[in-house]
Amino acid sequence: MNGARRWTMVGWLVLMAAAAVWFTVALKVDSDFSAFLPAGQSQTQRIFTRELHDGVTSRLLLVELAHDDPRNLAAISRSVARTLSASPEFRHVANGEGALGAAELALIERHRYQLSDRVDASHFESAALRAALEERLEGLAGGGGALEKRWLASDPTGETLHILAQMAPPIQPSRVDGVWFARGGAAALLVAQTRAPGWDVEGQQRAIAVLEGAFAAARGGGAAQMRYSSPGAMSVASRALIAADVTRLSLASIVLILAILLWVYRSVPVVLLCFLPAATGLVAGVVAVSAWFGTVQGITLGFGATLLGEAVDYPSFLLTQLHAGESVSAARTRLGTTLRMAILTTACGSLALLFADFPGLAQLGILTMVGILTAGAMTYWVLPLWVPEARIRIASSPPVRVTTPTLGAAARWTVVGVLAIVVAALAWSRPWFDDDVASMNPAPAALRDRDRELRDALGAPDVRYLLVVVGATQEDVLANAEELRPELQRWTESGAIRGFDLVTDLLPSAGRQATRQAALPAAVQLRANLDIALAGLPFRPHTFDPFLADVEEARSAAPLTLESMSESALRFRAESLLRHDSGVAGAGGDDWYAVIPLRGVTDAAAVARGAAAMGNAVRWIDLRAESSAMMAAFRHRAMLYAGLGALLIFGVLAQGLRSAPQALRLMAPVLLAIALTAGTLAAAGAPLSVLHLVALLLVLGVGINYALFFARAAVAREDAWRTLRTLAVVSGTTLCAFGMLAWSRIAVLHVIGTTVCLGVVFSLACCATLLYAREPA
Amino acid sequence: MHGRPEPAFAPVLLLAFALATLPVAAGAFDMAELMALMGRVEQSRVAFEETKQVAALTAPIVRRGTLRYVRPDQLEMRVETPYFERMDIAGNVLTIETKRGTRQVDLAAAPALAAWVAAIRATLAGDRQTLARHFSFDLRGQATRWTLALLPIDPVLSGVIARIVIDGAQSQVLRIEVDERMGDSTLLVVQPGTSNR
Repeated sequence: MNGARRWTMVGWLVLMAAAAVWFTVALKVDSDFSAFLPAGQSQTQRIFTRELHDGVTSRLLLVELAHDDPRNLAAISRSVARTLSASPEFRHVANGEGALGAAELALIERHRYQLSDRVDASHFESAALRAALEERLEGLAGGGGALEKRWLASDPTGETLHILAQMAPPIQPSRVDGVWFARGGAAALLVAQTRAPGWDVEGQQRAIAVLEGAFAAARGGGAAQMRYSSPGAMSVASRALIAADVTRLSLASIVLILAILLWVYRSVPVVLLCFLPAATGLVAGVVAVSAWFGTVQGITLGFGATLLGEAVDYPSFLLTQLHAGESVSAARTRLGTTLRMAILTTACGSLALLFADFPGLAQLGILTMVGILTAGAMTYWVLPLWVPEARIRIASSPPVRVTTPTLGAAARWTVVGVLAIVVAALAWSRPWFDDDVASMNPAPAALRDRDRELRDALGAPDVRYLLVVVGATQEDVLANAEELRPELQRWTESGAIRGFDLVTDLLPSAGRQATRQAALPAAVQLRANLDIALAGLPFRPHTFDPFLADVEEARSAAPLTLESMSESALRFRAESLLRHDSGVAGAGGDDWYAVIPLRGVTDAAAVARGAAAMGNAVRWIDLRAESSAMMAAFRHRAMLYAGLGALLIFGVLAQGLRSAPQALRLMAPVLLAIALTAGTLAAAGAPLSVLHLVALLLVLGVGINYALFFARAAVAREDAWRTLRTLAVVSGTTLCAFGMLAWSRIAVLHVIGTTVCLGVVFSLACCATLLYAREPA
Repeated sequence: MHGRPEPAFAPVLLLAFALATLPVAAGAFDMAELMALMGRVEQSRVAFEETKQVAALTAPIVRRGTLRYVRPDQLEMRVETPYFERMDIAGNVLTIETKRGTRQVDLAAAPALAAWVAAIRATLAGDRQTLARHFSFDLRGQATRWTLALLPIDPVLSGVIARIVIDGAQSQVLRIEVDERMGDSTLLVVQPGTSNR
């Protein structure tokens, strides 16, 4: 015995040391929220998750400066914009000041005849030139004369101004002192694109640190205050919030659980040993996840620790059952089958998670399964060797007289039936399922509201809708996107959308550029056309010589490419709109796609219809609808696997009890409790999301354990008080742990907490009524 | 509009006014006095003839129309010939109407344009603060005949406009000359005897 004890301890220490080495060498914790989004099956779904993951909109940081004099705010805005532009953490900053720099303007001017969609053969015929020259003349006379003059000689057809007008965002905030302001001059606005994608919380945190620093330096001792928002900033804020909540709440629940266990066992070493299986299980689970997936999601760790909270019960199942003078090993032998069934059924319950399409949930599945099995094995084989039996001072006679409730079969089913009918009636006609991804969003509602407010003020692209054009090559995508422009223009004119960002306004396809260049007339021809157009107009001779030279040069100019844009802001803009989908490499299909962010979508249905009519290359993605569809599909699969898990649980029980009807009888109250929990949540207006499914799986695990022990108590009536003590201890600790989570400010944790608490209460009630109550004599 | 005398364009009243302020006018005429003088004008409306010298053109462009100011910040320039154009500035919004259509410009988004508007509007309003924000100035002459030269401070504007010179008598603006960096210039002359509603 002593030898076995020593060897298991040495073995355990060696394994823990190995795990510690693994943690320091190989453990990578990732904090990507989208791990809790489905991976996606179709290309549309993949594009959707990728855009959510690291698309342009996920990189936009919206900033608001307020609580100071507008003049000071404008100065701060300029200073912050300068600092951010110089920082490597940001790609692009806009605060309303000259949107394009001199380099960008020069680039556009140089390539104007390749960029302008008005360039064709007729554009340079004498009639068109004459109209353009008359327009210039009128412009020169008019108020904007100074502006006209800048491009008069080299660009009399006004291509540069036309291109700039097409690029300018149609909705812009009003300005004070040249920078964007909102709320009637009360708040200055900036928008910045971070280099780090939205999911990269570390990168986002660095970017935000730069922003905070820039603001602090610009404000000096002033009164100004800053608010900002972005998907990344929300991740940073929620991560901090989650970390704070998890630390606070788990500390509180550990203290409560410790208090309960100390009160029951009255021995510190025994209580510490009770935590050992769960802790070992957590370590094993994390090693398994990081070995299988390469990285561990931060959230998986958090939830996994929660799910494994159940394993804290296992030692209690054993120790609270001890008879006077009985060794722990003897109790283990006596309770062996029940304990084994309790552990195996919980492991089966986590099966549904294992097959989840969400990397995050699949990780949770592995963590739970490995963790539960390890904790179970520890409790079953190791704990009996380690528990210092002399230290256990658990009461060996009932402290109070326990009476067993008496209920006839008819009465039991009446109680349960009435309960079920009440819940069903309340939940009737209310939605039972919520497939909105937003309910998975761990960001607090206040942060989301602020984001919407800033987005509206800045006219930033709509985050819900996405128009995507696909193609086999980059050139293909650009050509397809060009076809779309007239339609986009029509939507803007009809008011269905307020604006759009089309990549080909910055980077036309090589084919289209070549067509435009081919349409440019030869020097002799152009001079002849121009001479005819100039007849009778008061322009001095040779005024337009620069124009003739530029057109001649443009005829043979190299095409504008991403590379030739060098490091200009235009290149960043084009690159963020044009993407390569490596996910389908080798599939021979549409590998490239262009994202067309839409602003102010007011008639989504019209746009969706228009996009559908334009053939296969154009995809309209409603992020909300798309994600809901993916969630629903996931839910259906999850239900299927949960059903499979239930079947396995039935198999384990039937084998352990050697009776299929007995197994069914045990499962019935637990399944009923789960239905009641779901119904109650629906009745309370909190429809079930994927998170609820996770929580209900946990309820299934603990519920089956309760059922097993209630069933034992019903057979061994004289010993029933011990079993009731066991159930009081384990349900008490579970309610403490999850009751704490229910206090969380984070929706995700709150949901799991309330669901498990409800489920535990219903499980206890159903099991007591259906399994434990005595038949009348 | 009715019932109130309008000193700017009522020569008799103007004369009486000038006589009343004679002791001040006899000394060195300074910016504070000019601004105070202009600050009494509630509204004004004059006909003008504008001559633009543009290097690229063989002949100057001559435009005729009316210029109207209403305190505190409304300025309207209406051109009848050779092309109809109406520029209406109210607050920070410039509305340009031509026979091609109407468009609006946010002055705050166009610093150069804003400075140009300020030169005329702030002078008419007697708003020294706004003038000082965009220009350094040099005032010469007496209340009866003064010349205000404005040199743009804003780098964007000073890249385009070298200086703006405004001539006036008492609270009446007589001519506005804008000299551009590239050599072009615009001279706006208020037509005598066209003042008032």
